[in-house]
Amino acid sequence: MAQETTEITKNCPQCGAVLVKSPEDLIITCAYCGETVDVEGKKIPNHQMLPSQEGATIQANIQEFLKKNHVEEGVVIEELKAVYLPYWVVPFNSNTQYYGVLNSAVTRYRTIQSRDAQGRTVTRQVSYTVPVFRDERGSFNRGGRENCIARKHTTFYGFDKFQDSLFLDTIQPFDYQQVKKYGAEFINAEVDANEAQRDAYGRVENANRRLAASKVNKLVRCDSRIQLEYPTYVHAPLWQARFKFQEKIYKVAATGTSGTVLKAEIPLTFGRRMKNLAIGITMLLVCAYAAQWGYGLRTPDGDIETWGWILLIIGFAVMVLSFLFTSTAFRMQLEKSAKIKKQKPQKTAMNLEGA
Amino acid sequence: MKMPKITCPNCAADLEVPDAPIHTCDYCGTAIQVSAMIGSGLTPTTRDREQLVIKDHFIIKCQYNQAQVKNLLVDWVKKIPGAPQDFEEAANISQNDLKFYPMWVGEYAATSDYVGIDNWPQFSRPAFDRPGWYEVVTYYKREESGHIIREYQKPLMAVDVQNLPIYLRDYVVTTTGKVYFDIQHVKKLGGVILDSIYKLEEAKTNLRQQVMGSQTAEMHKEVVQITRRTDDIQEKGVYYIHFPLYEIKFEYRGKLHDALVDGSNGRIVYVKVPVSVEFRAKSIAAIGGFGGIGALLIILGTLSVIGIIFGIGGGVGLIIIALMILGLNLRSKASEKQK
Repeated sequence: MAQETTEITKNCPQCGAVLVKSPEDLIITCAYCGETVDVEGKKIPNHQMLPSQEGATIQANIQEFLKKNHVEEGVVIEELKAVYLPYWVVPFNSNTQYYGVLNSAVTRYRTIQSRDAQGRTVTRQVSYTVPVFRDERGSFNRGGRENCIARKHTTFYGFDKFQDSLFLDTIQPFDYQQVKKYGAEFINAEVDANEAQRDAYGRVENANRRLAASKVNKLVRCDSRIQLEYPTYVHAPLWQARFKFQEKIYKVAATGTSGTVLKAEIPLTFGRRMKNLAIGITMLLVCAYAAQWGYGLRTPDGDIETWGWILLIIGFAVMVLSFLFTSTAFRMQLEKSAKIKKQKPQKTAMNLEGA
Repeated sequence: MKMPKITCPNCAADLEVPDAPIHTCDYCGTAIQVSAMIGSGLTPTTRDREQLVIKDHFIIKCQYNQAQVKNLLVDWVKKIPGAPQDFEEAANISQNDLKFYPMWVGEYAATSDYVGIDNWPQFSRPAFDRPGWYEVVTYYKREESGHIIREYQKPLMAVDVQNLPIYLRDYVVTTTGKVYFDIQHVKKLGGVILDSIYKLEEAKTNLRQQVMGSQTAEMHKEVVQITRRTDDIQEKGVYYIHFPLYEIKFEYRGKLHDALVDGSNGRIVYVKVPVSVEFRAKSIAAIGGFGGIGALLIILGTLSVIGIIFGIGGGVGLIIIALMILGLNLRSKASEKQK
């Protein structure tokens, strides 16, 4: 039974070409005319895509990224490939009501009477803190979009970063020629719009709960009302590369939309390891000495001076920090990610209007 | 033990099957529910066929051959601090087997209504100096209810835990690119197919329990104790999937090591890494150096020959560095990050 059913075929309702389909695909895009239909042949409205930068640009960006991270000579990019991944972009609005407990503290003073050496009564104020509590009821509205990958059981290098980097500023109607242009692998959806909405529902609810929990010290109750709109089907380009450096292999992931490197493994050369170790040890010893010096700064009464305390605290703090460098010396490789700005919900909601 | 004989319900081949509830036919690749065939009286007629085979049987194709996998492993291992750089020449690969591991994946839409008990706050003793705040908060039990809608895809490795390499237990198998099971693909690469230890029904029960467990976890975000619940768990599909894994054994300077490499994406699931002789010698010298100077600083600090803070602080720091280098020597396992 296996051999004759490896691929199920169907004809494109638009151009009549044979649609090649894997068993898990629920939505198929015609490789000839770009028409997108579900398994019953019904057209998927509003199929969009994010155009990609050229492979050469991606390659240049990777080189640039590595250069910024002090990896220059001898990088050979061995594998560079693009893949167009299916996403459902689900616009949502939500209202969350929460109830919880807030903790705080008040400072109070009490008067203590004692006798001094001469037998006189001395009064002084001593401060103490008392924890106090109150309940907090609140609500907030949160809207935006959830990017749900339309594949199941998927993980790849740079996955989270890629998901966060999907801005829709350059969104355009789907065009299969763009996919062909980059020789990209094209992946159909195995998640339909309803499933994507349910997935988004759970994620929005959990995100709202996290937000509510951050507003109180103990969250007691959290209820979200979530409205989901019909999602937009978007294909987004991911580039993955493997490069060789000093006979060792490393990975890079980049988003095709802006060409930005999302995440890369950065080689640690012997020289770089030794440099980190030297910095770590120098910091450790210099700061231990500074702390010692601070410890020696005394008032005539024998107490440590303010400056002494400052030196002691800074000295110990930097001694601990020195291990950031030391541990880098012993790591397998570094990993650097691009900083991705948070999405602006209002703007993206507008972009999706008419979807 | 004598292996039972069955006839494949699809291609009618005579098969001797191992002790497994589901066996993949060596000739046509059909997943046969052996447990349903033996002693059931069901015959492989068209009528019974549905009950005797697993229809949703898939394979994740292997994208790398043995030589490619070896190169990936070699290039990857060299990155590990202390790993031998002559690994490629000096390591002797004694075994490089491609095995197709079985797993089940279930898809569910779950809706649950629940009633439970939650801790609700009660305040007393108003703080006189901060209006609206109280000095005491206690919690009392209160009934709460809720509604949970979730979508799940749950995996279940279908290999006996004892036979399942430890690094595979938390490994996320990417099922993207699965195709209907194709025995020719397995044969072409010389792979071996492992059988599921679960029957279809057992797999379904296990997956359903996982879904119930996840729903329970969602409920526990709101209530501490669940008193009543109704769950509507709709099974949207349960798939039997074989995924490719290279099991590699190699010898390096007289010692045996092993590795697992995902054949679908070339990821190093796990490798027991050799430590090079040269690194060992150099690092022992370094451990001695750092440890020795560290200990000396501590002694001099305590004896007040040098400052006590400088002596102990610097000394402990150097000893920690020595321990870090020792850690590199003791490290034996490494795996590639998934995300």
